[in-house]
Amino acid sequence: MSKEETSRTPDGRLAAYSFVSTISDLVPARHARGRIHIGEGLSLAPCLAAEAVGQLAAWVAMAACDFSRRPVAGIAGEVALAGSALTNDVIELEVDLEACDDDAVAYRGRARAGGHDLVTLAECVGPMLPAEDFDDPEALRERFRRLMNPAGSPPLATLPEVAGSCTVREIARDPGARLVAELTVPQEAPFFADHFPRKPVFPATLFLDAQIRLALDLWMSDPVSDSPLRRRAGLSDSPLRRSLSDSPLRRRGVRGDFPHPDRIAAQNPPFPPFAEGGIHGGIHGVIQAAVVRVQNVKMRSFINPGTIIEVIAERDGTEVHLLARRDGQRLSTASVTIQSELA
Amino acid sequence: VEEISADDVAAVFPKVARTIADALGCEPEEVLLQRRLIDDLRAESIDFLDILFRLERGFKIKIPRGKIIENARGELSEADFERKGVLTDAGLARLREYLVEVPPERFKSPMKLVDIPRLFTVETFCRLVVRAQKDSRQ
Repeated sequence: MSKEETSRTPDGRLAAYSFVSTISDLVPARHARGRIHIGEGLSLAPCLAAEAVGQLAAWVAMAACDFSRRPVAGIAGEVALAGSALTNDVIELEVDLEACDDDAVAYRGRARAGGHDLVTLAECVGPMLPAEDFDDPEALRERFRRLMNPAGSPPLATLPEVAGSCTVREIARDPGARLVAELTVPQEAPFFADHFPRKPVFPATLFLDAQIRLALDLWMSDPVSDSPLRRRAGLSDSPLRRSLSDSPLRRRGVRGDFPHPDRIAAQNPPFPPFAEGGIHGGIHGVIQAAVVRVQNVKMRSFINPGTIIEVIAERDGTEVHLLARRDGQRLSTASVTIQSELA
Repeated sequence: VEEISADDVAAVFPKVARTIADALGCEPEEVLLQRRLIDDLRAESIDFLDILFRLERGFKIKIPRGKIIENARGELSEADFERKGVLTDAGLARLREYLVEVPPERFKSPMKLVDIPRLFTVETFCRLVVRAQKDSRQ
């Protein structure tokens, strides 16, 4: 059995890392709406919602060139994260393409649920490469036809595990200022068969999610600059060190105006998806940290299965700058903005 | 090709330099007019895309991808400009004429199409912006 066959669901869809369920309102090379139908009991991490927006843009761009080219992850200039957990929900997607040619697609878009933005993306650019290097163009055409059918695809029955998609080893830490870690991408994972059938690469969104966890980990270990909030929470000023990658914390609530607090609190989904950072309990309350914005994400090359990556996270006020290197060469850069509050 | 003056270039340079610095994550002071994007500022292919889209947004202009080479080719047919990925003599002459900001000794013969971006300097992008601005006014 070929790799492509093993990753197909009974309806013939390559599902392990494909999130768009239906496409509607297509204006060729310009605009589209779409939906994700999530199966019973699942919640969608924000990085996967962002991935879905990118995938919808990719479908529009691929259709515009009759599937001769496909975009790959390149640049995300601005990503705003408003909400995180979802379950049993319909997520609405929308993309606007600002440019679409044989070299690149530029787009902005968003994922919404219950009338609220979950993730918005702007100033995104994906280099266009030969589609046949990644997938069978005819298979892509067929999937696109199915997505354009109002019935679309069945609800996603499973979702990839976001936390722990790669292993993380801390190399060095200057609490609150700098963190160096080694990320090891697995040799095998279900999503490699779908991303992509002819060229397995580690999804940039999972890689970004892993780096964001490191940024939050660094932020939460800050012994000084969060002192006022810590005092209000009834915590001491001693460094609060907790490795998010090692410790599966549970979320206690939601931030801001996220639309379904009761349902989310009741379901208590796994913590943390990447919009929400960490919780430190004190006498008077808990400090909750969240990544609210990701900027200037730039992927410089593909990440093959089994790759070992060095990630350097450096704090600059409320921002954490991320640099990833492979064999000493720049692999990617990004900056995240973190907000904390007393909950 | 319409003449572009030093004043035209100077008018857009500060914003182009900031844009390039933002895209490359370097200090604006490093982005001098004659600096080469690849060899001096360590730009890679993804950075060229990034810079072009940032310039489009920042200056509210349109710069089609491949515009520099297309402009350089001008009236020459593709076959007269390059063969099998290598510039013809006429193509190389045309490129020299177009990239006036690039010192003549940097044009190697034979020159591959894929090596053309290695010639681009910060001024190349300033001139690209000026041309796009002039085109949009016409």
